[in-house]
Amino acid sequence: MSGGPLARLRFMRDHFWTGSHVSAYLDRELSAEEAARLERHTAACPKCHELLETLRRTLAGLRGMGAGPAAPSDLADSVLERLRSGR
Amino acid sequence: MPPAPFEDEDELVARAQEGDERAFEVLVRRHADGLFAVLARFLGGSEEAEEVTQETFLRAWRGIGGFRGDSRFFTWLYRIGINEAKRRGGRAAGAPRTTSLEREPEAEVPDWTHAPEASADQAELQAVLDAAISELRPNYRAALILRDVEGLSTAEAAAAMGLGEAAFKSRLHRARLSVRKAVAAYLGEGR
Repeated sequence: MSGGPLARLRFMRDHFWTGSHVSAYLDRELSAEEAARLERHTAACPKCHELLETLRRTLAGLRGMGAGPAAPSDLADSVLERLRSGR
Repeated sequence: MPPAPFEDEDELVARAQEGDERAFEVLVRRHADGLFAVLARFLGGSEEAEEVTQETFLRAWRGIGGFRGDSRFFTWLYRIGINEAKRRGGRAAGAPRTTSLEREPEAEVPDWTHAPEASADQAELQAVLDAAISELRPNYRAALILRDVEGLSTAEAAAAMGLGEAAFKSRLHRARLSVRKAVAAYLGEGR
């Protein structure tokens, strides 16, 4: 970061704004203008760059977790049995 | 029994609301596996997830007259299931996510097979994610599982949690940041 007090103020304002909007950015929920603001800031701020990249990797990992424990093959039947018994 | 032919969900719900057990049976067969998947992730195990799945459908059958159709049927169902899972206390704090040997972190197993490094990395990352998810408070865990693991849309996941989208996004963001912290630490970049 460089520049005078106004530039530093703008940087800090973008810094906090980025921290609260990075999820929305990765979900493509920001406007083009907002996305550009976040990209400008993350290009200049190592901490926010790291936040963005590790969050991106986190989401990719979560979305790639695949199927959890397999449902029992007779799950629907056991549900229906329970419904019929009314327990 | 052969697979049920596709029937319109709204029609099935309407018939079930009139007491048509056959219509509700189709809904059970259509949604049992999906509900189980969410609950197994949330609860951290299969056995209790099966029990809660059964209980959820029982409650749904008894309460379907109160379903107003403001959201999709499955989000209403998931909401009942998550509430039931939370009522039972969810995953015990700090407890391992599963006790199955099959799901122990693979990093503890010597790699004699020279499997691709990327696979080992992925397995390690999954163990990190599993542990981080299990540490989340129930409301945050549910948000993350519904949106990021199970892939529901924001609107669907918010409806399943009975939240407005803004409140849901805020909760999801905090959950993500918490899990990200664990991932960053794993990657050696934690702050």
